[in-house]
Amino acid sequence: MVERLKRFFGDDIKTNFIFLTIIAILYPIIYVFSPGWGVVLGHGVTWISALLGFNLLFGYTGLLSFGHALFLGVGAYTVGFMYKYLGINNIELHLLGGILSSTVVALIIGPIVVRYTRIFFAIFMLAIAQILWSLYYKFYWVTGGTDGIKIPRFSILGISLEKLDFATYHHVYFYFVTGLTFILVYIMWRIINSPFGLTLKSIRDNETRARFIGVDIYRARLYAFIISAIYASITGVLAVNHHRLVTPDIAYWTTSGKVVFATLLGGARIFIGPIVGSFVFHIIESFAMKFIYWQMVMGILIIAIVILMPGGIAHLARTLVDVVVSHRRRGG
Amino acid sequence: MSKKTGRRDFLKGLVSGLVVGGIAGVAGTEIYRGLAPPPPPVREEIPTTPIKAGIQAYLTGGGALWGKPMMQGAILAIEEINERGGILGRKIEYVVKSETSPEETVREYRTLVLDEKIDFYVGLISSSNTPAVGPVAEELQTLTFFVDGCTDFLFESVVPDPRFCFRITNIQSADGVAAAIGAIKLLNLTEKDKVRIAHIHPDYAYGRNAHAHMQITFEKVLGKDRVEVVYEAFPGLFKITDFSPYITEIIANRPDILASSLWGADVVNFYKQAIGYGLFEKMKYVSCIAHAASPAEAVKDFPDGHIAGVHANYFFLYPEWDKYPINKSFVNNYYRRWGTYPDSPSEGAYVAVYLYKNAVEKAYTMIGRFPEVDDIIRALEGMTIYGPAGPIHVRAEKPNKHQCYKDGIVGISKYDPRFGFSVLDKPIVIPISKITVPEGWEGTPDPKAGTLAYSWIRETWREGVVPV
Repeated sequence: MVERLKRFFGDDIKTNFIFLTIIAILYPIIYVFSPGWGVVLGHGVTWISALLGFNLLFGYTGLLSFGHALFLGVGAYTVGFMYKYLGINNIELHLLGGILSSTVVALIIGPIVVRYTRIFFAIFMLAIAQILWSLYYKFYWVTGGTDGIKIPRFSILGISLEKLDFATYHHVYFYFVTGLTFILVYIMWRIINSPFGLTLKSIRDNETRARFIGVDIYRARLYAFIISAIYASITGVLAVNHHRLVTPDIAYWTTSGKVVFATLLGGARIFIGPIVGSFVFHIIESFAMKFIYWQMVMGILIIAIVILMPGGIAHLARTLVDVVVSHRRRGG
Repeated sequence: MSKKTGRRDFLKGLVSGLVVGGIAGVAGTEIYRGLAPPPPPVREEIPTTPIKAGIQAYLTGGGALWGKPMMQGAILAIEEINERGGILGRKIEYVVKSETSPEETVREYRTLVLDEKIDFYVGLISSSNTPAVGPVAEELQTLTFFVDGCTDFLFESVVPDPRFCFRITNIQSADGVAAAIGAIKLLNLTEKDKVRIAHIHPDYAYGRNAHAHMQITFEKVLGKDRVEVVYEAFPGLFKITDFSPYITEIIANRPDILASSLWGADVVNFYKQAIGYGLFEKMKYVSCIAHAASPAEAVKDFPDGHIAGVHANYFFLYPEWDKYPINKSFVNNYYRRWGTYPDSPSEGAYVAVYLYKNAVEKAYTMIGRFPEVDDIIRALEGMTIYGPAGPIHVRAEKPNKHQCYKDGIVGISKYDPRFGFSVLDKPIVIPISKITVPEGWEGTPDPKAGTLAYSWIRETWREGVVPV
């Protein structure tokens, strides 16, 4: 048991679920004392999906995407268009629409981009994301340009939330997203621990050897790319439903940077990393915005992470568990 | 023959006067006794806790040329009020937060309201952020003054019937219209047979809006056949540093005027490079916004003799200081506090705080206790106060309910050695009532330009007539 904890802390589904449950239990308490931090937790839980998706490519397949804003944008604008042209504000349909449209986009660009790796993949993704961003920006008569597309509060299963006061509405949003995140985390965990997930890891660790033992690298990467795109688009759908305005900012490269930063902060090689990273990132960012030079605070922080804890918070936590466990064993 | 009033006549008059007066006085008292006495003024105790203000502004990056003065204007107003004893004796405290992308701006707005428990909010420059924060302000029921973020879209379609949000700056469409009319009058364009126009605007909602409204104003006022568009370009906002391809092409098309809404870093890059190509000698540059914010940084050595717009808002030299002491004291206090001259965003934020103060005091005289947010809103609607830029009016009815209006000014650029940067000279005042959609006008926003103002100009202005 102790050995398991030491080796798999953060990688087993139990730790992940316990962590999310603790957040779900803490949320109402935090909201009572400080609703603002409750809202920040809402942002944290919203971004988990994108970070998990990004990490499937980065942490498990070895592909650094610097353009994941592309898929957040696809999810966001799917919501915008669904409301603007079809009048749909049902969040289940938004999610479905986001999943479908991101799958289509991933199927169009995936076959080309996954042929590249390392910096070439990163730059390729960045370029495509920027192209899409500029389309949202330029086709202002369709997308609203920088004014964006305004969407109302979503409805769940046909029940409108329009009449609720803000606190209740936010609680519904938070627990809806948390529930969804449990499912998404479980699916992602199954994917990573399946033979397919092991294949991805083998590609990450040694591409040549993987190819030598008969792995279809191209196909595996493409599948990972599509799953990653779907996960990112889900955050796109949720994020715009949280602040209710679809603007090109969500598809800009800074959003991609945020995804990379938050994942690194949490830890890319441990499953729980992106989940922890999403919360910690938003808490730090919101805290830093109290200062005039908040971007400098964030910059210094990322330098500190890279130098002092390249494995991220999750790795640090695992090391701590390791120390505690070894100590207790020696003592006992 | 003149008749002198004798002593007897005088006494007669005095006695009869006293009698009549006495009767009237007694009767008056009797009538007064018959009425109920007025209730004694109810004056509930005012809480002594401070009022909390939230300020949200761009503090870094390209928007800081606008965000920083905005923050400074709000802080100056708060400090002035505190020094004079606060609002009804209550001091104001403030919290500052950063403005960034819509998602983060909304998040920080929510934390300001929910955690900092602010009583009112002053902030925002970006037209992307006001449509995001507006509905949130209504949802969280917090009195919110947007300083800029002037898009027509906010009060025309996002929150068409606002309760809690107000906006100080003149509406975006007025910006382009004011600059075009200023150009027509200052450059005597009506005397020309044909006007060749080139356009260069930043490629986003604001630039498109300025382009559409400048163009329709030229077409309406000068007549469609007398306006010829020879060139149009939309460089990305803050994306271009080398404007030489644009400049050479503009010169090659030989326009009479170059209409532009470039601002911030873009206008600095553009005019410095255009000077080298001699652009400013070959045509008149008509800007609706270049002189609006941080003129000491943005238009330091801007060429003389061109049309200088200030976002249809405010330039610190006007109204003239000797004729309008409110502006003089504002400029002096601002300079003393921050070591620079105020501009449109700082004036806007300053006025926002004073609007709040005036509304609270007005509501207090009516209800006799420190007002709740609804009382303050009722006092604000339809209110007019005198700010540094002149009177500013809060609209109470649709369309564009809760939008504030003040007369715009446009002038001619002129380097002023007293200040060391280009200022507005020979300003003309553009009455806002003549260039914006009036209260109660029922129309639909133009599908192409996306604004009511565009439809209003198209439908109601007579071609060939200067409306101001």
